[in-house]
Amino acid sequence: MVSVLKRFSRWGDLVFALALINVKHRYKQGYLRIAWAVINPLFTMLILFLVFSRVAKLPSEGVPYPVFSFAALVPWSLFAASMGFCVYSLTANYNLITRINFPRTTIPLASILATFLDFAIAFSLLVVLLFIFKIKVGFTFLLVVPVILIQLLLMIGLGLSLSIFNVYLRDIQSALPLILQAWMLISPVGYSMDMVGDNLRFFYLLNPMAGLLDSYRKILLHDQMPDPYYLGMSFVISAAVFAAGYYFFKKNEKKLADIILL
Amino acid sequence: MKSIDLKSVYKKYNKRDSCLGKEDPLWALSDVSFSIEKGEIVGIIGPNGAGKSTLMRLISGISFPTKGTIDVDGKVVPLISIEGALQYILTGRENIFLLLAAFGVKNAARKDLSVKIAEFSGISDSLDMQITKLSFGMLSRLSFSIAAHVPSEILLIDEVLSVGDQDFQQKCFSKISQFKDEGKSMLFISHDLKSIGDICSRVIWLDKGRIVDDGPPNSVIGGYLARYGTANLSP
Repeated sequence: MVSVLKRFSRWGDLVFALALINVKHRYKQGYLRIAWAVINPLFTMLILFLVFSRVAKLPSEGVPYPVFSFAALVPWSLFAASMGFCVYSLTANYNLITRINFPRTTIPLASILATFLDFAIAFSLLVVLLFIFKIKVGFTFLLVVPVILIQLLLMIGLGLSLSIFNVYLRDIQSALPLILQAWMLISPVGYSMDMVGDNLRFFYLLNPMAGLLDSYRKILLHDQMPDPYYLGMSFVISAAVFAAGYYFFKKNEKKLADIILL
Repeated sequence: MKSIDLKSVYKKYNKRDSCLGKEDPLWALSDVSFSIEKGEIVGIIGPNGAGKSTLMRLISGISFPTKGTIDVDGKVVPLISIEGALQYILTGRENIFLLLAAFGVKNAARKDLSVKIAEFSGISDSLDMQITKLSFGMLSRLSFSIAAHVPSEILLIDEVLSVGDQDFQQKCFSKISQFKDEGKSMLFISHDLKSIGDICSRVIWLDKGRIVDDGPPNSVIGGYLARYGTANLSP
């Protein structure tokens, strides 16, 4: 534990500097710059609203649909965007990797950190929406912190795997947008977890994002504790993904500088 | 005391057309063994493709040998090749911060070093702009200045004479003799046999991944010139 903290204090600033590169690349030359952090989820919310609420007329747990979907969209965007950056993080930073010897894990970690900037902005907008729609917010609000931490575990595990596998097989970066699109549809983003039948519930929860997104809704919209079974499933699966991702990354890290330019 | 010790090092690269293509092994280094004492200054010479850069990458821990062992005692810093690690989206100062952090320089030492780097580079007025606005020579100055200020015990120096203008080259040379006085071990790669002969106390001649000769500069460079003639000498 102490060695982890020592490593963090030594390499934490590198993660920060690499995240700065990511943010600058995305926003520096844009006209709307950081405003994209709210335009993206708002636009997706609008589409979900039209399709799921207006056309399909799905129920939304008794909460106005815009804030209902936004409460899940904000953490979902954090997940999807960070995976999108992680997947080509190593290949994009070949110029550093082939010249300086530093812990390679810092690179996908920086991609994740960079996405938290967008998340913080979108989350603030979510809080504003909670006020506008007069949603009762209590002390359970603080429970979002452990839920975010479980999500972080999942993102680090998957991000490490995606980044290292993409060095070997660039098809992964091409396939990822499709996978994320399908993944969003099998997650409770545009609809409620209650819509999932009991017989399918277990299989549905094998997707760790399902339990996480439902927990965000319970905490933010209903002032309730998250369902321990749902969140527990998410935690166990996220921890397994984290362990596997770390293992794969460490196993292949040494060959990185040789393979990245092939 | 040994600062670098290579025992029968082999490095194989697999050249392939695609992920599923047939392997086409290329031995960049075969059976390379030598050791460098602390404070020793060694030149590496050889034609293009001899394995000089691969050797540097193995010693700096960026890449790893296929067979054999490399023991390195102390922090290794490559002095020239990091120019390509500069990030064009960042300003000069942000690049200094990034590269110092990537070299693992501790937080406490970084601020002080940044000031010294800015001063040494001689372009401190231009460090707050995005580096795309800097000239190629200024970028060379910046990257050399950063690497030269990272606390290190072993320096890998690639084509030292290619940096900056006359004035800055002079500064580089005095920095290198300062490193010599500090007892740092140095490995030079260069095609400029004259400066290799002037700076180094020992020269290793590599060809096709194997050591051809290893010894005092005069005899090794003499043998090298006898093989390749003076045509290989840089002006």
